[in-house]
Amino acid sequence: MEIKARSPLRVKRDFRQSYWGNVAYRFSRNRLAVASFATLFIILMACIFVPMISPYHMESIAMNERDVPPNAKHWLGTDKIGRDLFTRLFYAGRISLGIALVVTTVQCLIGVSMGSLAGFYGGIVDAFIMRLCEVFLSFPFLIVCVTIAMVFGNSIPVLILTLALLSWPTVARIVRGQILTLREMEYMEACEALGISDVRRIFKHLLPNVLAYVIVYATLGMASVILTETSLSFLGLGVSPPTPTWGNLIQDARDLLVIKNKWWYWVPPGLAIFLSVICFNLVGDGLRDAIDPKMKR
Amino acid sequence: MTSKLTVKTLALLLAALMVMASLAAVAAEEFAPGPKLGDKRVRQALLYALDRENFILAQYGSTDIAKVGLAPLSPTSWAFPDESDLNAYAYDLDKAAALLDEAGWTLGEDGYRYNADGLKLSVKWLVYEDSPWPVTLSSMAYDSWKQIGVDLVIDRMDFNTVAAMSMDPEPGEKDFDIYTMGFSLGADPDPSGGLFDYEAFTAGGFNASGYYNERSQELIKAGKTTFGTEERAAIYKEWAALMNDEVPTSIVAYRSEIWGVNDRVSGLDLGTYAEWPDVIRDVTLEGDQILKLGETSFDGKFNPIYADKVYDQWINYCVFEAPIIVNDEGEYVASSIADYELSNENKTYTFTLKEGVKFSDGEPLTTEDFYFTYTMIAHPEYTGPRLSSVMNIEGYDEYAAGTADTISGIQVVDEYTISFTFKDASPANIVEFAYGIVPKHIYDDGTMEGFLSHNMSPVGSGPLVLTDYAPNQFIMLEANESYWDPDNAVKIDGVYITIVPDESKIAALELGELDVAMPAANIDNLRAIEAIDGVHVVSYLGNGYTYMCFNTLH
Amino acid sequence: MRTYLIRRVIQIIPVFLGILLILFFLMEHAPGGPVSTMMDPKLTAEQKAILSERLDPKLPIHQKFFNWIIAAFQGNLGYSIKHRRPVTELLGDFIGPTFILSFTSLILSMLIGIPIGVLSATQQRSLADNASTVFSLVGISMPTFFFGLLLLKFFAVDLRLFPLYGMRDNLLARNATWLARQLDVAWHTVLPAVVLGLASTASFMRYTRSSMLEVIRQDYIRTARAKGLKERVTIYRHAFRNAIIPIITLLGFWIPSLLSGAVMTETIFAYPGLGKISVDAVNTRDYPVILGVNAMLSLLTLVGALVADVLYAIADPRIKYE
Repeated sequence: MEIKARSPLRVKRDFRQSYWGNVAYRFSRNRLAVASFATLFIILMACIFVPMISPYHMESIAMNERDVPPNAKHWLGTDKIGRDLFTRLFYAGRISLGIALVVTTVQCLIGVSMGSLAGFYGGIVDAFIMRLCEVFLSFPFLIVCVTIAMVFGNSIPVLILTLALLSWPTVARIVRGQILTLREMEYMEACEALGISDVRRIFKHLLPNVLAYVIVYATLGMASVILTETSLSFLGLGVSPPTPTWGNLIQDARDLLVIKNKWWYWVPPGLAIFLSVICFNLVGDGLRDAIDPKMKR
Repeated sequence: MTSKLTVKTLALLLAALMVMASLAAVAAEEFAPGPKLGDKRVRQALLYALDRENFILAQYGSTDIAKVGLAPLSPTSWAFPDESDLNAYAYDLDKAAALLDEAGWTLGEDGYRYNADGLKLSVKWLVYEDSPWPVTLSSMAYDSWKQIGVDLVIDRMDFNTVAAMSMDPEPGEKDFDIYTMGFSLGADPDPSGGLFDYEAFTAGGFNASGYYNERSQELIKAGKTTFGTEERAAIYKEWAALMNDEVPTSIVAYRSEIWGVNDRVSGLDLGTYAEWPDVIRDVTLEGDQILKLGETSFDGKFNPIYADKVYDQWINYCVFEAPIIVNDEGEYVASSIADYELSNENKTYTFTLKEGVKFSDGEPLTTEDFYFTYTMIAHPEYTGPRLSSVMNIEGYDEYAAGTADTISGIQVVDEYTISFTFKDASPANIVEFAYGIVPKHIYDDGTMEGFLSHNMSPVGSGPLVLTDYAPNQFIMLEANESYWDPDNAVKIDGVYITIVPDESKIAALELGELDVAMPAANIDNLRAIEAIDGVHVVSYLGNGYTYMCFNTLH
Repeated sequence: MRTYLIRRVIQIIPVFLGILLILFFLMEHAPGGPVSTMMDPKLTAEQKAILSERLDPKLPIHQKFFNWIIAAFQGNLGYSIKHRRPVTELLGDFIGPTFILSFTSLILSMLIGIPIGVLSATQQRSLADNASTVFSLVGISMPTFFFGLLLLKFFAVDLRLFPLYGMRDNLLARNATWLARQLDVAWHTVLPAVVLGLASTASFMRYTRSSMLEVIRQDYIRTARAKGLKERVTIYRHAFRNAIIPIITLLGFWIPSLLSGAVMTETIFAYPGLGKISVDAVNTRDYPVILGVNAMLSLLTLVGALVADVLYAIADPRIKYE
């Protein structure tokens, strides 16, 4: 009969013992942050499952039901060519949130790589990357966005690239700063002494610690991208119709008459933007508190 | 010997003719009318199946904002035919179906029409969403065209993409069946270079339909070379009726302009062809004697040969005076400062300036100033929009190339007489004189830079003077106290123009901050102005129309 | 310190050149050109070509770049194609109002944000603290133009407390005293400054609060309290002075960002400043102006960063730069 040897040192796994487990635990104690996370989750689910909730398509027009305030048939009313605004709101959410996600991801990818290279290798590499960061950070944000839209057109990929290019330096700086601090720590010296390769040191030992801060920044970054997209749509440069985005939908409110008489055009998207941005900010703050409780905001 | 030569030349001629004929055949082949929209009956059927009256009510809410389009001319123009001569294509589904049957498109089992070759009657319409009306029109069309068996595919995009797919590509490669857009007319009815001129059927040209009609081109050419309003009116009336019947491009609606006017303003003379300062010449005000106007933006190019924005032109017409103006019927006629005569087979215009016309600083306006204004356009550093004014004058090419010191076609006879000779005679040439004259003694310092430095502080002979200008903020025009023609001076003290964003115009009218403003022409704004106490609406047909273009090569 | 300064100033040069190169590259590849926006059907292709050549001569890009840099050093930024005026003149006309707006908004945000930040740090968990936390959250989450239009509707249209647009009531200004005119400008600037300053007020609140909290926890504050110093003196003389240091350094960053961020506010309120000019320039493909505005603002940002670092060094004697 085989006897399975049991390690005498085996301890019952308590998730609180792991780094991320700790973070999750502290996060869950923060009620505001949890509520925001839940709200965001609901909004996200609504955006994904909108075809199942609503019988209308985002482009279906009903000419005889234009400009109708919210009623039983159209929960959020219709716009000036008869499209159902409830459906459009959540399809727009897909685009706005999707853009925010992609921009933040690209931004973090570039930022983390550049930042780690700069922090790790120092010297000329560091100097060059820092100068590069300054170049991108010195551009007057909105005006450069507008300029790039003029040159390369107004499509979604251009928008994503522009926003990512203008904001990766911030991530790079955070990463670089963290790496500089961690690099001096003793255990890194130990790694070097042990002969572990550069790449391994970067990926396995430094990055996980930096990642936490990057994630906090990313959450806050999502909020900022949503706001930027709104501003760009106002200036006529964001995603162009007929694709709806939250910024696009709010654009109708440029007219004082619309603000006065047709509140259902702009209040729902406005609220959607406002709510998501606040929630992202709260979640980001909550994460930051959970990761580093000494850094009380 | 001579007979051999003659035979040779004859042979050459014959060969040349054959080459030309085959080229023409090739060209004609390349741009032959297509099976669907190349057939006039199909185009007419599509129009009969479009309920434009209802569209206008649905989209614009009132005939004060738009009227059903008939022909590519402004209804207020002297060249517009009798409405009874034109077909309004009133909504008639039976007629549409009959036309399609006649054209060989039979209803299939799936409810759509097919021709003898089995081609389905399916059309692709490029719709931009920047304005709501193309969407409204195309969705109405979708329903009614389905009833006569036409399959409409609506392609949604933005304005720039529609232009890029319709007007920009090479002839023969334009990728659309139908597209809709807006267009603006000038006061002169000459349609050259516009939507209906075959010469404009190029890459980037305005004509995207590719429709060729010999009579139409003949008429366009005749209109450009015939003198005399009555004769030209006859030409254009025939042309408009022809276009109304053939409809390579259909005029959907004529658009109006609406103004909100405070009740304290009387005598405001707005209209399609009304030009400043005639608009305000008879204005009297109750209360403060300064008229408050609001507009969205001015470039600050208050210079008659450089201004390219309509609003800058308003100021120029008030401050400067021109030898030719446009009257209320849209005709170009001599103004109060000059008379003119045609001679030399209508190629030469001889102007006689009135004596006693003075600039606002007291100096007399003479042919020296007239000559100066025109030669500045011909200046090698000129970069304004009026280059066409001098390019057709005889002697310009030599002057521009540097082989001549002056333009031979412009002759100053004496202090009050000057003549301009054009390369070709055309009634459209007179349009080039409808711009103000600048004072040489102030504007001439030998350089273009010096000339331009007066852009924001213009000096002219008109009934108003510009006393104050703050870029992007306001413009102050005051009555010219030393106006040379006191009988025709403005009655009020001045006009104060504020830069106002479009969205705030109506609120400004309501608060009494503006006396006069022109908001975007739509039913909401119309109702909003009507609802304001103490402000009334003035509306008139503007110079713009919306159109629907058929790609006749498809 | 001096060597550090010199080194930083020298470092700015390649960065600025890099920025200019990128901007130039963008301009060269922009589709259309200044002539494409002159949609006059009567202009023949030949005429358009002539105008195009005069307005924007076709030189190789490095030559254009060179010419521009040399001219810029002599204070000449070219001619605006649309306005036909020197770009420097144009910028000069419009930077004034943008400056007034940004400056007013900055002062407002500091005056409101910093005291409230201090208050909420010293009285944690009180009503004031919670209220300010909510407010700062709202402040950084609200889209600018949304807020602007709401304020416009409420204060300008409904309550008629403030003017609808513009920077001054010029009709009034012609016959008024100097004081009256200044007050008029101030009255017109209130709403735009509040809108522009919303985000920065919220930021100042948050930063001041966290900075104060960190300082208050330090040992020397505990010592001061143990010494028996009055609470007020402790807070204002010791804690605040130290907490304010990182805030001051932020100023170097805020000013350029306010200048470029005023685009939205100026558009809504028709405030005649740089923002509107830049957007117009892009819409009409006015390359000299676009180049000039971008270059100037980038330079200001770079200088601002330098100023922030220097201020930090001056304010905090612990910082030593080699």
